[in-house]
Amino acid sequence: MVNRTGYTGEEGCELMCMAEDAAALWDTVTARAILPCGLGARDTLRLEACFPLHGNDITPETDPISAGLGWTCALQKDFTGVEELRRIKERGPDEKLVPFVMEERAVPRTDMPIVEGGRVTSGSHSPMLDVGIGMGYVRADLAAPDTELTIDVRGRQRKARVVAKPIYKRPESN
Amino acid sequence: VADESYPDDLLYHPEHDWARLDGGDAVLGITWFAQDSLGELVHYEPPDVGATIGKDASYGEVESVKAVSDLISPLSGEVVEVNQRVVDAPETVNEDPYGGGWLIRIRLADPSEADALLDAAAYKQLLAEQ
Repeated sequence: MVNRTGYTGEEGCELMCMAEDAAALWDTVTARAILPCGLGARDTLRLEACFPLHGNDITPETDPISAGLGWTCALQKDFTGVEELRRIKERGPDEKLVPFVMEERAVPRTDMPIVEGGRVTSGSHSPMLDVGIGMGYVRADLAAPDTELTIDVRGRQRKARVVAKPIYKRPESN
Repeated sequence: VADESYPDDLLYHPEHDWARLDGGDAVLGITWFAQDSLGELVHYEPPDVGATIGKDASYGEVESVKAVSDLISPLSGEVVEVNQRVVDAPETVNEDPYGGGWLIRIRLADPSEADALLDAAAYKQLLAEQ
């Protein structure tokens, strides 16, 4: 099965096959000068694209409205938790998940405090922009693009700026 | 990226840092093994010029996409120069760990501390045992 539903932040497809065929398929694909990559590389791609990662940016403690994933929730239907989500949607979330770019040299990392309130949930160095980038939850009044934030990088305060999603998008190629 | 090497004119610390003695000063950096373990460096957090750093203690950080690592000083002294080229282009360390990728120059507090460091042969032996 060939899927275009990947969540990597890069064009491409996912190949699914029976387990016993996997090694041969892998060898066939990589024989065509396609280089394997690891999770570190994939993490920079999805972060540049602002795709939240489960376990980092979304957890059992977070909700999809605050995480900017309201578009995935059919709030007109009934499902477990829908009433709470409708309440959050109605009054607006207290915190929002925002993407940010470092204004000063530093690499933000998961769980670093945001001095104005909140914390970093994902952070890395963007290979495309060559700066530190990340996502984190901040108070809703600090969530607008261009808002200045301060990230506590192991005791050092470094300036960052909220940006619009995505952090990086490759120019369209035809 | 540089080929693996451990020059004979340097002294080595087991935490994969090197020192090049220069009169009453020493120039410090990280070894080929250290930069290879970290991968391409994307950030160098240097100490301030004038700061006092202690032997075996952290004086700064280097960071790759995947990991951050403390810089351990092989010797005690006062920071007299920071390599701004590495601040601006941290990958210089990967390209030339013993040349353009040096990190700081210090004025030695106690030159006799150098006696406790490893020579290239002893450091290579330590790597072989890991």
